[in-house]
Amino acid sequence: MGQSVLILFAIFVPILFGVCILAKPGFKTRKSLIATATVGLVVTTILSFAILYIGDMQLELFAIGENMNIYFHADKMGCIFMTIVTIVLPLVGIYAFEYMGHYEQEQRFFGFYLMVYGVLLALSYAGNIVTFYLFYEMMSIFSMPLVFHFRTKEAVMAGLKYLFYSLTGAYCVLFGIYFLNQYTTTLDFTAGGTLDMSKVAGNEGLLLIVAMCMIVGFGVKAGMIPLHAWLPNAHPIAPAPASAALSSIIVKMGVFGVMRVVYYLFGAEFLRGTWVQYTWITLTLITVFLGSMLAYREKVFKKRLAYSTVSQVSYILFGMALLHPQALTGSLLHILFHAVIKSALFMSAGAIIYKCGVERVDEMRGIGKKMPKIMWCYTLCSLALIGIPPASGFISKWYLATGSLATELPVISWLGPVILLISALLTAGYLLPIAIDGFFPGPEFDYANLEKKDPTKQMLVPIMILAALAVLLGVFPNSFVDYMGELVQLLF
Amino acid sequence: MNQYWILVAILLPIVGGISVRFLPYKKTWEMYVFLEAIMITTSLIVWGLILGGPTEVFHVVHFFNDLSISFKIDGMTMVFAGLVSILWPLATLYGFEYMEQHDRQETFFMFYSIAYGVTLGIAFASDMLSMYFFYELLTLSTVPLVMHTLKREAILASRKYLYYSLGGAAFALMGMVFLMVYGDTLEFTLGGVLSADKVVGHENMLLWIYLFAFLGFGVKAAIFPVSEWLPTAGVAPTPVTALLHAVAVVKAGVFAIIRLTYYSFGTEFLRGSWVQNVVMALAMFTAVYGCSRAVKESHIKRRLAYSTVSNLSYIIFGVTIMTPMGLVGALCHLVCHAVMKICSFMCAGAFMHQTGKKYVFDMDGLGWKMPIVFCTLTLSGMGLMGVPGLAGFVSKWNLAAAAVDSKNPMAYFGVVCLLISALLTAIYMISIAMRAFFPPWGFDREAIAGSTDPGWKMCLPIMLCALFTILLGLFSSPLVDFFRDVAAGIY
Amino acid sequence: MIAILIYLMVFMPMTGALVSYLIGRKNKTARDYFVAGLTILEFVFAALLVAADVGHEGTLVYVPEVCGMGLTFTVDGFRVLYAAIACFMWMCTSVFSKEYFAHYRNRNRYYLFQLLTLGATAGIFLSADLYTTFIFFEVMSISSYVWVAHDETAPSMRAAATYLAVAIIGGLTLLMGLFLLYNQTGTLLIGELYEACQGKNVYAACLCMLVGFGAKAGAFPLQIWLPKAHPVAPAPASALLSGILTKTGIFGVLVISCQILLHDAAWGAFILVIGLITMFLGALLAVFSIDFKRTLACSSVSQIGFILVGVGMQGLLGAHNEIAIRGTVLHMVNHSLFKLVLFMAAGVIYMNIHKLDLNDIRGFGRKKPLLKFIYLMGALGIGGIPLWSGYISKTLLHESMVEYIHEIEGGHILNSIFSLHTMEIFEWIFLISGGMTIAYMLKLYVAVFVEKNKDAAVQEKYDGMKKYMNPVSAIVLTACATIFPIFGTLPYATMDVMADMSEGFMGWDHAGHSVDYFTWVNLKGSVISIIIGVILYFGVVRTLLMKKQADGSRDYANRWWKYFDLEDYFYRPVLLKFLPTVCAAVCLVIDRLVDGVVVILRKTIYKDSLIYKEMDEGNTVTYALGSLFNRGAAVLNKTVWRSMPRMTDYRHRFALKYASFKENFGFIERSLSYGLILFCLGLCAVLIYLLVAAFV
Repeated sequence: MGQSVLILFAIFVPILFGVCILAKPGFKTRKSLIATATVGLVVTTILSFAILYIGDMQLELFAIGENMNIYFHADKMGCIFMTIVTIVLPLVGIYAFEYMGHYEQEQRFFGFYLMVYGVLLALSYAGNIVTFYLFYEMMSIFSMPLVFHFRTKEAVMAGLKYLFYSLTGAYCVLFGIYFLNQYTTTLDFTAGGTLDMSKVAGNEGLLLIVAMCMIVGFGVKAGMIPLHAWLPNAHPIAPAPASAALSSIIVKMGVFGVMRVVYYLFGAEFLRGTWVQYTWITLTLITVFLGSMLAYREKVFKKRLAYSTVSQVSYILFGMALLHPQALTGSLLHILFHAVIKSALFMSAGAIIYKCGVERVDEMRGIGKKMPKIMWCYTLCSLALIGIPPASGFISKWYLATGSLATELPVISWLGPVILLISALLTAGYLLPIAIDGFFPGPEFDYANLEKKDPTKQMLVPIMILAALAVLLGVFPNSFVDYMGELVQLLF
Repeated sequence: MNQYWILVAILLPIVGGISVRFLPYKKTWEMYVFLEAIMITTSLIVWGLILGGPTEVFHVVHFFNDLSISFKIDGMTMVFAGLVSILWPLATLYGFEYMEQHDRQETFFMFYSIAYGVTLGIAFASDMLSMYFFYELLTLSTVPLVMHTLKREAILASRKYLYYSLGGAAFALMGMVFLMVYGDTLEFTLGGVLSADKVVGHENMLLWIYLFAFLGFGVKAAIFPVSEWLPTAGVAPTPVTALLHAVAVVKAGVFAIIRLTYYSFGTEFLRGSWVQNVVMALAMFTAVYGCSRAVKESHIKRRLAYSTVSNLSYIIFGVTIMTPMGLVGALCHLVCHAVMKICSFMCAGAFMHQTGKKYVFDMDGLGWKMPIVFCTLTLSGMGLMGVPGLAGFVSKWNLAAAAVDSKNPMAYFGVVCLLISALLTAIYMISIAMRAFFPPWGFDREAIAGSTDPGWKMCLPIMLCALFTILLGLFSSPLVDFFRDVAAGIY
Repeated sequence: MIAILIYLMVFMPMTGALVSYLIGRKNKTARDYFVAGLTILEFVFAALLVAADVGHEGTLVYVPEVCGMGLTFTVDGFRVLYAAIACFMWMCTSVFSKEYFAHYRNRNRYYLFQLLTLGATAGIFLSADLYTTFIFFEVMSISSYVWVAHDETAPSMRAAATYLAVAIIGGLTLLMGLFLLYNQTGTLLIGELYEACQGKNVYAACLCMLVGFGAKAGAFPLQIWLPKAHPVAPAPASALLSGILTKTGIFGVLVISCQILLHDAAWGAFILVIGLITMFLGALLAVFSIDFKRTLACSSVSQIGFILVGVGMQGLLGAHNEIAIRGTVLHMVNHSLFKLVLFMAAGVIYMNIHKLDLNDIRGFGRKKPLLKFIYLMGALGIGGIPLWSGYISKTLLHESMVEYIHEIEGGHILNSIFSLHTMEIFEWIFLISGGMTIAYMLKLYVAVFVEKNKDAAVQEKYDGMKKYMNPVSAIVLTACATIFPIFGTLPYATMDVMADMSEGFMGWDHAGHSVDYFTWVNLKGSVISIIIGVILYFGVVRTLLMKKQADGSRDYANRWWKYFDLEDYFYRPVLLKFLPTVCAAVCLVIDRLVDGVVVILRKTIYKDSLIYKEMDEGNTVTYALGSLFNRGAAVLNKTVWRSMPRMTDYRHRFALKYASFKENFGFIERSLSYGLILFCLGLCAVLIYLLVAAFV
């Protein structure tokens, strides 16, 4: 019992830190605020690594209602998401200490940031769908202030739009939970699904509709087609660390939700070959193409990265929709890689925008000369995202495509990889020109009064770590691939 | 405690109310203490009756053959009387501070406590006739409350309220008459009173009569075609709207519908018939219609009134599923909604009392100036939205569980309507919270410079209700088990 | 031993690149020597590998765990040969580029990416499975981009963008081919591919891979980047670009044709057709071009066409395709070395006068015997003149076509894809292209080394340039130039050795037998080409392609019609303008779908209702009617009643009317007669009900 209390601490320490940062009327100096926030981050990271080290832990908190109990279970799948959260969020936090220094109301930012950190950990430990839903909704509410931090008119509107889209998604999921409550043996996540076949016998049609609702519901947070419009709207307005955390982690929680529902409640066998799988695959493929095409046409830098998130996260969903071990390994890998890469990209975007004050892409000529270190990290990350072999994006694309071809679905098995590759081409189309204009500004670029604008160490080190990670994960991915391989075996 | 205590419980507030009006008081706080004492003693008596009271029927007045005004304590009474007896003293305490600005307080509090006694009468009524008697009395005692400010719009509103209620009562009377003819007795018995041999040829006609009776009682429960009076009744002072139009009057309507459906016509007779579909459709439409109108309103009390309209039809939707689980869901939402809605109405009232403004767009930045009021308002808003961990989630869970369990495809669509209106609730409640706490820069600060939190008399009930919302949200299993016993007929 | 050498050859240049970048930041000259030294060392390792390879054909070297499925390398005749040639060319260009880049900017960046590309190229040639090939292929594409974009001028950036686009599109199509292949066969190891593909329809995979490798080789549809990239790239870079990088593409095509679809006639025919088109189109472009390096670039396209013809003939000839194999390999080797020399020569010209247009550099080489000798060696070689190495490979290719024609006549091949007649046409195309090669090489020779420059002063300046090359470059250039006559005169000792080494890779397992090159039958083909070439030069180049200037002198004119440019009038409009706009429009609609619905709802059903104002007079009906009338009156005032506008407020009037109506209605209401009327109405209703109830 002693160990499992660790989960409780790992979740409620950051939330408590966040609350006390928010509640405290004012910090004497900025240093004390940063100190408290760092202590919060560090303690939570240590706790979560301890949990990761100890492994399979369970904690039964209490029961709200008849079979609605708050139950935490750090299983293998949860550990993957927990690792991403504990890698990316502290780094973004360190970056934010420097970045937010130049904007006001940062106390509110760090308060909500730590609370979101705690809630994300809780989400990755959630043992049953009700606990997951509880923290899923709390995550929407706590992360909203991060979006409208600058409190301009359109920031507030974007925050509201973000919340209402997430709530629509949450209510679709709730609709699904009501039916699952009736037709499954237990609401706890068990590999391979918990459908009670005796009750399900008569009404498969109904349950398929329910499954579709839940996928679309969680898909909202993952930026899938029908309800993705909040993502390109929220990112340009949110401060860079917030959009980095938002697009690399919080979007992944939508993906995590879909993963939990499809593989841990319905079970892959139930959905294989049904119209749900086909619609889901078509939706993801449309999103993949749509995201990269709109990113290709978008001129505002952070909005372009936002559309790119829309398309990249649908890679992951596509891998999951195929219900095939290989493809699922590919999507799990892509979750890890995309989280690392996209947070680095957003942080570098934030550094560029903050230091050089350029919003639009076509104003970025010669930025490679002004900010060489940032642009080197940016180029490495974009190569990784495009999927140029030595870097990490290639590995996940490889598994996704081979998995898709192995499923032998009539058209989709080859159309999927084609669309993935077209989207990779478009990714090159919207990421590389920035690097090219940056490093090859042309002869008339005045090298004379060029002054280096690289940001301070605190902003630079996290980006460099993540960029290095993006490449190293690509060169030595096998420890992760094996870990995910054996995890995937459980599910099929 | 023997039966007579029921009479005492009903008559004490009525007599106390009248005495408040006519006894000479030097200072108003003496009147407040006296009235609050009456309220609290009545509530204690009611709880005494609930916990240890007699269960057999207690006939007070006999008319010809077997018609009589009689009382009995069964499961439903416990729920309704318990709820009302907890909230009424709180609302009165709230009313004391609110009414300081208004004149003619004695008449106001007279009718206010009379309404309390009458509502208890409805709760304890053991047969359709006595319930109908107190049902009519309730209308009469609440009309002067709505008309209290004697402004032109208050008079128009009370007139509309009177017309609607009397019209509804007429339809309800029709239902009662047919029950007398076709039922064995008017006594409320779980599972219905219709005698099989009398009903054999006239099923269809009886279904029509049930529909009319449903619409009759539906007036007070603000079903779609007849719900217009509730928003206009928003002009009444907040203690009235908070207690009567969120808890007592409208819940009496729903209480009557439950009595009509489960305890008079009987769900076996009604389930599966076209009436069930019509009634459920009405409830579902009202749920979405109420929320849609609420999103459009910018007058804070009209917005909350429309929200009541929609939440009431959640309860009615639960009732129209016509299964024991449906009743559990309905009762659960009846209690949870009462607590949440009275809390939000009181916060709105506090806002209007402190700032004198009525509209949502006047609320910019007030969140940091009146923290208690707006934090509880946000909390009750979140509860109404169905955020897990608060009362709303539990009641929605039980309603949906009943709908899913009933295997009726219409009920599945009902769950969809429930969630759509939950989303709309989120929209109009969160926008209030956002305006209060995070208005966009550039709102004028001096407009709200002066406002602060109201006195303890207002803050205490608000915070208590907020506490109930959280407690109901986290530890609702004992309450839900009690409702299951009520639905199974143990009490 | 083999493993260490392979690791060194592949990974040393890459690490060396970083080291050179760091050294470069401190001391430029040290870096130059370091780079030159590194390339020389690399060539030494390559030579060692050639020696060590003799006994250890096909030993697999596996680097586990890296990039997911690990990297596997192997050694065999062809791979080692080509790695050696690559290192040799890198050595020569690095030594030459030390002088070439004397006054260039961004050299540090250039050397960093040059060494990276060297490592990647070595990796490709030594790779054993297509997964490793693809990884190094992508690294090479990306790192070679910097060569083309080195000058950062507008045309160079545009050409570099095209190069990168073609490289990435090619890479992705190749990846798609690999996916399909991996899915069908389960393995990517080149050795096992042939058995794994038996009985499976792998044409789709092979087609995708062909597009990928063909793009890098510069085959017909995707050759657009070659003519654009070379004029803007620095000379050493363009030497490597057209010398080695195109050969990596050909290496891939060979893997498909010789390892997967061995002796597949249909595939051979397809490659043959592409080869012929590329050959002919390249030669045509070269003849028309008036820029020195652009002509060489188009000539590369054409020579790649020759090689593809060889590959195609391998497929068609089936089991006894030994001549085609030897022809292909030798032509690849020859072409790499020709382009090395020719581009370095171009580099020398550009180094001195920074101009490449034929009219400007006319008469530059009149008084430069060494440069004349170097250029002649290259030109005669590439033209296929006997006694030069080009003749050997061209004859072999020509021989393979002739042999195929004999086999069709002899009836050995029954339902061959091409009829006898078409094959003869193909042979004539081959000879004409050979002729055109000679024509454009002659054109360059005459323009630079024979004719006088129009402007005597410029000619005087050119003749005065004695020290146009430092001795080191001179030695390197002359050494490379002298290879061709040596190879040409002693083919059996040199060329045949190389051919025998590579036959294993090409799927030819018996012992190789040598062809006697100098028989009349073989010489005839070359003579015909020379005659065609001369005719073409004097008939077409001197007449049509020269424009008579006012002062009577003739200038080289670019007669190539603007709209024939495949890139500017087909690829860029379609890929950059048409497709994005159409798709973006569709995507925008989908993107805005849900937002649009919400906005429409917000505007109609969920519009904020008016704030409820207490009406001081009249009711909502009179208010609404009054405001309607007011609006109508306002409109009319502006139009009809302009002369005398009526300013009545209808809301007030209607409210008064309503008030008076309510008063007198009040009187009626209280009157008795009103009650009586209602009573009668009630009675009538009851009567009607009874009648109806009675009859129903």
